[in-house]
Amino acid sequence: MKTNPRFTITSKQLIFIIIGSTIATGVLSLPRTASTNVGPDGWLAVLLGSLVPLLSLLMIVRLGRLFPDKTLIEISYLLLGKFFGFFINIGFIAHIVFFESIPLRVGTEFTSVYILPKTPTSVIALMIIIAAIYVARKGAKVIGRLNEILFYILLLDLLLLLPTLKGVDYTNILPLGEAGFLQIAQESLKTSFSYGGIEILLVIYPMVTRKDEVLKAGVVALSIITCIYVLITVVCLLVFGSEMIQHLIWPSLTLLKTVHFPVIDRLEFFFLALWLLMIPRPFINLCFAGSFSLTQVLKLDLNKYYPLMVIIVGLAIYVVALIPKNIVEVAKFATYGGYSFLIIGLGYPLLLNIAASLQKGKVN
Amino acid sequence: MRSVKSLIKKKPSPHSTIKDNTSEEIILPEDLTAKVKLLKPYLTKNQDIVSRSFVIEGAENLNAVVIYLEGIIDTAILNRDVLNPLLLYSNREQIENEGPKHLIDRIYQTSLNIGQIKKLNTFSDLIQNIFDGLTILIFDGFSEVLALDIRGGEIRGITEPDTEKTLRGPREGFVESLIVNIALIRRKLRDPNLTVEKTIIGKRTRTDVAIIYIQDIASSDIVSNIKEKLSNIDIDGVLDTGYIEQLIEDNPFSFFPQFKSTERPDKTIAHLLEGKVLLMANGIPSALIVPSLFVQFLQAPEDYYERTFIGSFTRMLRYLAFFLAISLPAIYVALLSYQQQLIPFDLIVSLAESRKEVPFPVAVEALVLEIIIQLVMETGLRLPTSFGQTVGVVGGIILGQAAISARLASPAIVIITAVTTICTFAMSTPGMALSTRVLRLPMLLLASSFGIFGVTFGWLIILGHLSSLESLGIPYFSPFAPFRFADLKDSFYRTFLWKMKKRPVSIPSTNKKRQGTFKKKDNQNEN
Repeated sequence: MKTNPRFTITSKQLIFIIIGSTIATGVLSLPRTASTNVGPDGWLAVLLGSLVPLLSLLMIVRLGRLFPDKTLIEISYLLLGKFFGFFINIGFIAHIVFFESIPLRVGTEFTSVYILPKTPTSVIALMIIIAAIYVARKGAKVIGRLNEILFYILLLDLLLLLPTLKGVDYTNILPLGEAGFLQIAQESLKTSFSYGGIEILLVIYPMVTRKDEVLKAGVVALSIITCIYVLITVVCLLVFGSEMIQHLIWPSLTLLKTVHFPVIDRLEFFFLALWLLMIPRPFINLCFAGSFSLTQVLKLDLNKYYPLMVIIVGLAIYVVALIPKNIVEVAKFATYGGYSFLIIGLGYPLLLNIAASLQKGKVN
Repeated sequence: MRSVKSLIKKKPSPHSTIKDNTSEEIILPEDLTAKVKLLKPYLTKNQDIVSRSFVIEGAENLNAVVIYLEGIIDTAILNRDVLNPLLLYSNREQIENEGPKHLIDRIYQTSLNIGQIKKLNTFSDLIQNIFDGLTILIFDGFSEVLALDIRGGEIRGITEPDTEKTLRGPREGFVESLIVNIALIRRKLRDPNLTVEKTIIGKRTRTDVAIIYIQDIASSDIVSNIKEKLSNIDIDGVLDTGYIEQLIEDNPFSFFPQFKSTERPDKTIAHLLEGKVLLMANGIPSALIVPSLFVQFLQAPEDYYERTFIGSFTRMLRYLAFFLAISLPAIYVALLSYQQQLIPFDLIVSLAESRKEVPFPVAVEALVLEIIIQLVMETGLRLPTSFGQTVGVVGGIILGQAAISARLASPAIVIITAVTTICTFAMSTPGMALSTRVLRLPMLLLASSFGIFGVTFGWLIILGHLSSLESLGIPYFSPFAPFRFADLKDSFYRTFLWKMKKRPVSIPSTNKKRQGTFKKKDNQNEN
């Protein structure tokens, strides 16, 4: 890939892009999904779940060291040949479309519940996707910058969770490890779904200006994500207890309902108003990754056709997001999306790494 | 926008220019009458071109003609320093002692008391220099003519700029003369590295444009980039630096000003010291700061002249004003028409009370009032000061009061609109104030159709847009996105002056160190 100024990011921005691609709507329901089976130990499952993206990161970085300036698309063509490579790549783009349709739908759903009960969900989703397309069209550099500023807004947003700490009952997460290691490990496979987004590194690895810092940036990003996830899960567990959490759709939002201030009656609303900025962030990132890949698969001129591809991928995400009929079906989709993340995030790098090792003599 | 793009593209202009009227390479004839004859069409056509013939005495008189544009040159200097020595004190033999060939050189070496003189020998140059306002001396028997720069004429006095008043700091502002403006900067910045390069832009207006920078601070990439962009400009006239701004900016499709323009010399020097480049044009009392960042548009000189805490406080107020100026009416509409449950109960009761008899939905009310206040602003701008106040009173007070009594608007929306308008003017640069004025309307529409979701959506678009903007290749929204921690010291707050040891990282510069370590001594102990 030739270096195109529109498609370069610094390693610092990589941190924020990974964070931005990962933290989406999942975190709002994570405390519930994490503690369904293991109860008070849900947060341990969340902590353990971070091993999956870490493994994925290590494999992608190893792959990237072998092919420092090639994206997934080019590598898979190179290693697996035209035919299989094509399927792998189409699979990747399909994964992006499918995987990102879930947070779009979830984001739309809770916007609809909390803010705009009368507006059709299709219109809300369209608005979100338009914003995403607008930014994604501008290329990696701008996306990197936007992710940066949105991360700081996210931190600001998380500060709103602080006052909820006054309702904490620490016995809610005791006894520690009651569910047993095996059970927790099993559960952590499910919590790892919320770490989906790291696979964006497959595409943006060659765009990073300093390749030697990618691993460091990735680890930093994952630690920040894990911290935020674990914190939110722990706080929710502490406040509600694992029993009550099961009855809440978005425990993290309900959490904010537990506190009241004199003038600001509904704190969760302020949280949500800022969180709305976070909703389009993963699609911005992955829409960009997907359309970048699509341009490469179709072998089109990047400068000319990339903006068009963004619109195509964006609208595809939009259409897929409207398929589930209700929130229960969305949850089912989310599980499929999680498996799809495991295949793409772990399977692809593994497959390509093996292929690279086998063909080492041949390619280089 | 399309026309701007086509102007930047360099292509041979189809319009005829002065140079095209005659073939370019006509070398002037030696004979005086032949030369005058060539000029005849211009002399008869333009009655403000003065041509006066005279002789330099000697055994054989040397005939000469002086040609100049009336009113452009300083006639006193012409008489005292050009005609006086030539007519009264010169004689041909005295000048000619190195032989007739060097006569021209000797004349300006010995007999003219003028600083700027150049020699010309082509007809097109001659014509051009006449219209540039130079005084031309033509002699018999030589194809070369002398062009003297004794341009003068009336200029406005140096006053405090109306648009950028300060409580503290120098009270001078730029005027319409480039030379005076450069001198204003030079007077305060006596650095030998201060470089002033001049070029001419505008086929017909032939406006002098100066590129000013400090050589060992400004990045040479930026300077050469600016020069290249300027040389690509092919336009017939430049009437304000705004023309140059629009022709060289990176993103014409944007509401945000990408280059700051100022009328204050002290501001321009502050920016020069940060490694930026100034563009000034003759006849325009303002300087363009290239490149500019978003944060600069919310800065004011007092932020630096006053103590840190005061400066930081006013700076934060301006950021708040920026946010409110764009989204206050939108938030009000969103809260009132979608999220009433967010408003405290007592407040919503009184709001409902006041809106009881207003027949329009709150969105319409806000939009109408917004448009009216925009009209008032626009009207007040161009009226004489005395009328302007009347419009302010009629528009603001009487109209608002009447609208409330006629039950066309609720008092709350009048308050909201007024606060928003005040916030608009809290912006320290007119360019940014105009942007917020424009951005408010789409925000209002978004809020009226999607509530708070629309407002957030609008801000996401604005943030995305701001992050994508570049001012001459420099990220516009830095230090926020890309986040530059070192530059936060002068963004929404301003740190202590002695802590600003480095120049901003956001602006590339060759010399990063601004000042040495200055230990603030604790003087209290000495008392």
